[in-house]
Amino acid sequence: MAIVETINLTKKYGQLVAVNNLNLRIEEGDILGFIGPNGAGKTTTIRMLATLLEPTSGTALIAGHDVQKEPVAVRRIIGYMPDFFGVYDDVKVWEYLDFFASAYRVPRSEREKLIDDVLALTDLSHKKEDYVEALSRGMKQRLCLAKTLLHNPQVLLLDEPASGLDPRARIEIKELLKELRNMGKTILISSHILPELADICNKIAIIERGELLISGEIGAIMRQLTGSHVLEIKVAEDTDIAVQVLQSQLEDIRDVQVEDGIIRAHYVGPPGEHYRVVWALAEKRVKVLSFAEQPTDLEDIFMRVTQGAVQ
Amino acid sequence: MRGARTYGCLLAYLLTLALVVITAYDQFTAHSAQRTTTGLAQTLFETLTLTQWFLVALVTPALTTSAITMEREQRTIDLLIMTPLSRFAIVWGKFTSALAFVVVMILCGMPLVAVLFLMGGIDVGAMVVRYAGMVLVSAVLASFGLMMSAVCGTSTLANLITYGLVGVLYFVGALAGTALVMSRAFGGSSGISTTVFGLTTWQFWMFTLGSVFLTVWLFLQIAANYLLLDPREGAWKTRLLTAVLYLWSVSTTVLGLQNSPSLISGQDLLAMLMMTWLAPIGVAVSTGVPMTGRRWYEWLHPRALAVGTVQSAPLYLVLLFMATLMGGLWVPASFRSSAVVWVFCAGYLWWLWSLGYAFSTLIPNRWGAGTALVGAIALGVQFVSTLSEVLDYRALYTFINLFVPFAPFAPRNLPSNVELWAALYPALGLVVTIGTALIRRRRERREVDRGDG
Repeated sequence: MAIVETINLTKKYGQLVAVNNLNLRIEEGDILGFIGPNGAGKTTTIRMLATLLEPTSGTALIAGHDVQKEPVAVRRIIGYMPDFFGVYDDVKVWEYLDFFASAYRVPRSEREKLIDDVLALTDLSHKKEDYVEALSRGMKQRLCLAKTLLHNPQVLLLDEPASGLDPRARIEIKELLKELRNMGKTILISSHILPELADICNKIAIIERGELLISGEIGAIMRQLTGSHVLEIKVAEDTDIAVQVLQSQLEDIRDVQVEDGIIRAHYVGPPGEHYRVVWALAEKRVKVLSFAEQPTDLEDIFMRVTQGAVQ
Repeated sequence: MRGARTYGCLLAYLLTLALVVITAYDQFTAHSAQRTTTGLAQTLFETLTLTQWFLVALVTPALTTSAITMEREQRTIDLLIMTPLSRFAIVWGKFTSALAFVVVMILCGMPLVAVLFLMGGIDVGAMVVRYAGMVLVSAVLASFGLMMSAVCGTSTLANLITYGLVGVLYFVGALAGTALVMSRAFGGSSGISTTVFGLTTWQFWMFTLGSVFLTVWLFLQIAANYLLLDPREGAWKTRLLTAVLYLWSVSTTVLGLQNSPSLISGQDLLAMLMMTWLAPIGVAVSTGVPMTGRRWYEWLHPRALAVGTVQSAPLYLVLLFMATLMGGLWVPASFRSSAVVWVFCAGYLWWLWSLGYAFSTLIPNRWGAGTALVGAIALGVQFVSTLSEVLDYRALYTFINLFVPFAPFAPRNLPSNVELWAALYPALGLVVTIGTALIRRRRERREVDRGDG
């Protein structure tokens, strides 16, 4: 059973349709990258899932609980981190966490250990006695994540957790997310920056103008979209011969291009059989220096999807 | 409590108190005829507590008016709402922290009072009553500020409205009828010996404490409702609290009338009380977002009462009206109102509701509709009374009943026309209701057409 499921989820602001008939499924343990340009409806969707916004129509279920009818049950399961958030003045890091821990009804005796644990996890132990407003943005982001983890939620809804961070802080957040993935959490993470999601997510959903364009496992989507792998071939000389071989003799090769002495070609044959390309080249005694499959990244997928490759 | 601002605030407060005491001392020694130590102590005590009262009342709303708007402005509210804390618990926490600061303010002034005690002549009872009154009034002010903070979008607006309304209401003495009553009761130098409307001291205390408690609860509940996604969901709680507060007031009046059968001459006291309460309640419950897509008779279902929309208001008002009628049974015979007065009152409520319904159909914003209705009533009253003065045509004055239910309570020299208005109200109400219903039906149809297109 899907732990997060939206059924025709729709949100309208007057005439503007922010989210249109969104159907999304997240299985337990998934890390879903929720991608879309600014204003695509990512935050609106997440806020509806987080019980902070009422859908105009449609429903959203989290672990079987309707977000509209059972908000209290939903809030116990989810941990939500907004894209923008503030912190209170005159409060120390541990006090901030202590406040939220008590709000989440964590018994007083367990709080101190819990706070130490989440601080260690988010690498903020050394800032325990600092004032919250004095933290850097990256640290505040991690503190908010620490706060989100206090009640040990099953599902994490993270809205742009890495936006506005410097590269170092971004990497730290990424490491943290990997750790959470290993802890078995289900995570929905939204972003308009693609590369930062590529190596943590196993699934993606792309949204544009409130419409879900595509969703599913990254590999499957890539196969579905491209049906091809890009091969990068470098030869010592005889580039022309190589190109000729690729174009004329091989049925599974399309769209051969040469750039800076490197040949790029799309392989559309059966997976795992592109060694035949090397064989064909070797037969013509082409001096192959390197032969590699170029990994298709999210950026590729995103560009294809939003350019209208998917109807 | 951690920032320098808190200490600065307390310091300024204490310096003001000290300054006032020094000035009062100076004045007393310079001008007073009887320069006794006890006289001095009593004068200083009066001055000191009055100043404290003023400063506490001045500061308290500021403690809460930004409590919720700041959460919104600094974007901390979402994190708070996501916790399993109930909305009321969040509001309650903010309320108690403000009240705790008031207690700190009072305690800070204690050393000054302690010195006065050494001089003698101060009644301990009077002191306790004063400080208790201070805390109670701050409780009302703090909860009112908190409500405005939840309702308003920005801190500036919340502050403006709170201080504006508190200022106006305080002088009118209408802040739940308690602030002024209490300041009058406790303002005298000898503590409480006042009886209000024939109540004994004990009954008066019960009434005051009860209404302060209910008023604070009501304000906090409204604040909590505005933290909900849809404030209408919590409407039944505020309606219930308002009803209890109203019944509390009615039963106190009945009690007072029983205690002193010869208190005042006006026999329509209960009806007058009802109208002074139900007119504002009527404005509040009759304006709002009208529910669409229901048949008119569905609102007669008892469960409709729990939904905070315009259409559910008549049933609610009818229930309160019936309760008042019941209260009338226990009133001594000489105070009972005639049937025509009750018909008149019911007619006015129906007329008021129809106006609220029309205003909220024309103005989609709840507060906009309410304010517009109040404004229209005020302007109408002003217009009619000015016109009848200028033209010196007393008969014109009866039209004031279009806006406020004045006829049964009019002074002898003015025309009352209770019977006329008892008949006129239902007719006017019916016309406005049908007109509004037609407008709404046409609008809904147009929306359906647009939806299909």
